[in-house]
Amino acid sequence: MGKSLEVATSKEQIGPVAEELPRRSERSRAWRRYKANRMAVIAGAFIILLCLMAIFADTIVPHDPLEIYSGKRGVGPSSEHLMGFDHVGRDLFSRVIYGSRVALIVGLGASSIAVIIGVMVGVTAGYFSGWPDSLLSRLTDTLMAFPIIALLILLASIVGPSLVTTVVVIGVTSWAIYARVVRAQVLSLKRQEFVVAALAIGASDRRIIFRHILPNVLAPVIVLVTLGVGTIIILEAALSFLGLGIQPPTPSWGGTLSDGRAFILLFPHIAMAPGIMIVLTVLAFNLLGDGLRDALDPRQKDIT
Amino acid sequence: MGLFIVRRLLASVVVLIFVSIVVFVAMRLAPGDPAMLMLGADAAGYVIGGAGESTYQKSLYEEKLEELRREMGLDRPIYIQYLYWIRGILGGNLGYSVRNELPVLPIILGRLPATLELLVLAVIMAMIVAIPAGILAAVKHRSMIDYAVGTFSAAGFAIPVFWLGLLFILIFGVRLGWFPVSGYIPLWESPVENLKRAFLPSLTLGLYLTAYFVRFLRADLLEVLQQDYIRTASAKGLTQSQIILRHALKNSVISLLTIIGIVVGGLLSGSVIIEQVFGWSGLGWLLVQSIFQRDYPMVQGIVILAAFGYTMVNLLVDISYGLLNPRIRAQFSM
Repeated sequence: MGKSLEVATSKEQIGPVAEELPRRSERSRAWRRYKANRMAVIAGAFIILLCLMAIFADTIVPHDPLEIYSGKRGVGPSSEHLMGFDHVGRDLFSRVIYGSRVALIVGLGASSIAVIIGVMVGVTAGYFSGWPDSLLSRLTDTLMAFPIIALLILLASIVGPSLVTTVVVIGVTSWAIYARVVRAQVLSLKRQEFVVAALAIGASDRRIIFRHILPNVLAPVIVLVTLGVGTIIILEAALSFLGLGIQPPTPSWGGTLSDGRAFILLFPHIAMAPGIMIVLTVLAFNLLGDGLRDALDPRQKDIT
Repeated sequence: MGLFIVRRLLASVVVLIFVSIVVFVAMRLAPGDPAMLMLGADAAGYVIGGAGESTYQKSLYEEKLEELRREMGLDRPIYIQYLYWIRGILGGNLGYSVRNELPVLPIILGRLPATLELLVLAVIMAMIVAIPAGILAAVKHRSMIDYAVGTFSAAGFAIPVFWLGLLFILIFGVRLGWFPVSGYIPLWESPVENLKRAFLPSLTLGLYLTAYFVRFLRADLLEVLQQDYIRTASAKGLTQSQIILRHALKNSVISLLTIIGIVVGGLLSGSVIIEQVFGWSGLGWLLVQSIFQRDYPMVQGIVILAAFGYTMVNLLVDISYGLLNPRIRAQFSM
């Protein structure tokens, strides 16, 4: 109590603060809300670390991920080889580090494709109602009607498994949720006064979409992307687990898990490290997404 | 209401037509046409394999291929082929397996009970845990219990089911030896053995569903508890448990049913990987196997049926939801 009184009596101290308050942008207020969420901050830091790990994998790995140490098949962890060896005698720790590359490339790459398609479809459907809306909405429903994993497996088996196809296939099959959310958002934005006003002064559709609509759908899309990356990383791991994703010998978490499954009775340690990395990464993206949702879109709090 | 149902029905039909087009096109993008697949790898082997008499056998193979293509109508325009295919589906003919030339529909339906069993068990397990946990978390909002439930469901979303399954196999199957780790025995052959084997896969799937249901139920209840009629109920002196059980839950359970409907409708997505991990020979197992064997008619049949099932369940859920909640009906304008 005493402290705040002291502050309030000094005019020099109030001055700048009082002037700053109204100027504080929505972005800095969002940043403050985000910082207040400790779990989200930890998650964010973890993801930054993971990205650094993926980028500098070449320099930080202790061993060559492809080198086969003869006579070391399935040997457990030691101080030299922190996670032990896989079923053919490769250093697991180095493979797990390299695996983060695949996870992030697929997670971010596929998300970008999904967002681009989803936002285009959603904005078109929401903004130009009528037949484009009906057509695109049915298209979105169609995608949702497919069991996503079945569709993924089907496409991956047709195109042939590789890193690029994994990214593209996951990207083109997971945009439906973005389209739905963006469409709903655009429908409600269209009725708001600032859009109606822009229409009234004769702004073009293009200007309205790019200047007024898109900036306002950004927040929910960012939140969805963050939550979606986790799902995509799991999908990638599932595909690789089935042998339809990243092909050996390229190290990926799903692929290593698949080896771990084949040798679960002999060398159970193989499946541990990649599994834990997937859990931590997905958890981090989910917590980051929750934090961003609370920060960027406080009204939506607590609603799944 | 009639109009609502008709509209919803039409939308579903359109979706199913789109689905069939996507599957048809995807199948045509696959390497090799149906005739080549029908003749099989051994026939194609003549072309690649033999060196000496290869030209003779090659022409023989091509001749056979041409004949089969004509027979199967593959020389006609693509849209005619599509229409023939659709006519077959409507008549209950989903095509013939490339492996053994048997119709795929009975094979697929034969695998359905195994997958359904997993799913029913998983949903039951999930409900038993999720409903009390969700209520508790919502009622004691921002308490330790709430945070514990929240952490559990966040973890449930982050753990890949196939890894969890592996851990369960390792712990309960190998180390403790409580359950057989893989295989499927039909319920009608040996109920005890069947349930023993079904326990771990359904538990794995059930834990994921629990995370899903809890998160949903908690959020839904929190919203319902802020409604005016709940305040009215508490103003007229009802106890908290009465309010929850009689008023709030009634509302939330309807929404929970929707979610369950969607989960059951998308049953294949949920069980493809689980079945693979536990060697459970249901639909998902069949799908993955067929893909590796390049049995495209089988794959086509499974995907079409799965999408059909999902669309139908969604339609039923929407209609019953509309019947139960007039506000949804009014909103529906697409």
